[in-house]
Amino acid sequence: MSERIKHWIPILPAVVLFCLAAWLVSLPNARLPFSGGILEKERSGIAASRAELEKLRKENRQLKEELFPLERMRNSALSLPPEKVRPALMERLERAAMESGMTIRSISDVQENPIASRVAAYTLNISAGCTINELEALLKSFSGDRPRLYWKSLRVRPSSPGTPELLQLDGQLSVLNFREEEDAS
Amino acid sequence: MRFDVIELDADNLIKVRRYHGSPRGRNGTVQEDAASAGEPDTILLVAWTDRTMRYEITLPGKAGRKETREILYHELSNFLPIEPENVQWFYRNDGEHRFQVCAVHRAEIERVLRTAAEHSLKFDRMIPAALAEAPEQALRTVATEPLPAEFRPVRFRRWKTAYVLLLLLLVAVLIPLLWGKYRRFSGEYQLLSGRREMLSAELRKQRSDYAALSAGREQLDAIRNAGIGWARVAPLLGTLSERLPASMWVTHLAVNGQVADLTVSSAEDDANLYKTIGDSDFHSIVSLKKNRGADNRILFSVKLKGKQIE
Repeated sequence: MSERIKHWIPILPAVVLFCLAAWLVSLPNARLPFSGGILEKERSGIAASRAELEKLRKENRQLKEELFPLERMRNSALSLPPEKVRPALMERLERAAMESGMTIRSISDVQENPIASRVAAYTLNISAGCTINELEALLKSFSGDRPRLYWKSLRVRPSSPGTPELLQLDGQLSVLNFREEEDAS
Repeated sequence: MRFDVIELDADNLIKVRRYHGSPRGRNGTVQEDAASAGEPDTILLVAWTDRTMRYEITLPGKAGRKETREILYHELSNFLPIEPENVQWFYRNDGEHRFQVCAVHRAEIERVLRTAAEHSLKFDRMIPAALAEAPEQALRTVATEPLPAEFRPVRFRRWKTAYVLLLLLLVAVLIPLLWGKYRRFSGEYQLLSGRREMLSAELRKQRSDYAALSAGREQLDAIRNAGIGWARVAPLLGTLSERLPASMWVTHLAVNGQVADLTVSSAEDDANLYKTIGDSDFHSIVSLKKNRGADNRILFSVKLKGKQIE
């Protein structure tokens, strides 16, 4: 290092401190060096979090509204272990048929169709003969009582051209089963 | 300028003389000035030394200071009867590329410095008396090695003390000011960090809700894709029974997922049947076809699309 520079080194602390003091006195509201950047980073982080939170809240509100039908389905569906669904479905169908007074001619085996995680549809084919009043009572029972039965397909026609008051009903019925979360214990 | 010359003779006797004058140029003149008071600009110790060699070296041309020094050292090394590392050397430029070079054995230098230490002498340069017959020559003589720091005089002591005191005062004022600013920053930072932490916790909860709701949405879509949840048959028939005139009745109904096919039998034609059936909360009409049966009855084939109500 040159001799000239060496002579100025002792006054360097004074120069630095004097500049610092001048800055502090002339700008009393100024922040510490680099602190502004740190605070600005925090503020921008907060603004980003708020924007994301607002977006998520809106999406969640929308999703909740969209999921009302699922809630209704869940409330009117079965919630049983798989082995208990078939007897429950048969019992529900026989009860509805008995209440409506219709004659069930045939019922197929119950098929289990997994739909989504912890949700399965149990489906069976039914063939019955009924009058219009019995059909009305049956349909009311299916949609009104719990567990609710859904028609996946339905065909209603007169039993024969000579007896238009008697109807032939062929259809496929489904019931939903929502399995609850299994307790780990 | 004013300068002091401390003369140290062979008997270690010390004599101090004060001079003033212009040292600039080789012809600068100085005069003794015993009456002058105050601190001198520089102090020279002109010491008589034993084991000293003096040479006159003339360089062929002009050279820079560093190059001149290197050449002189090289020339001196050639002249010296001992290793050049054992000497300390000095030179003086007498002009016209003539240099007076003097080498003093290091033992002699050490002896002089010991004596100077014993007498607490403070000076800026030590010069062998062999090179300083006159004070002007002493001023022009260059020592090639730096003087130990303990022999250097302390100048501007009061100013230095004032400098240190002012520095301390400045530090004492700055510390509370800086501490105040730091406290302000720290408080603001903690406030913002707290807010950010709170928002992060809320974000985590909303993300968790979003994941659960998205899973629910997937469940609902899967159920709908399985053909479950479309318009119920009973309300559809109820709507039709309300809208169809008494002369018409449904003779055939087939519902498959979202689509319902109806056959409506009527004794007479109805040009407004499409509008009569129309749309409802449970269905929308897709098509209507008309045929005449064998018994002259009109058969309307109606295709309806069930609305998603679940």
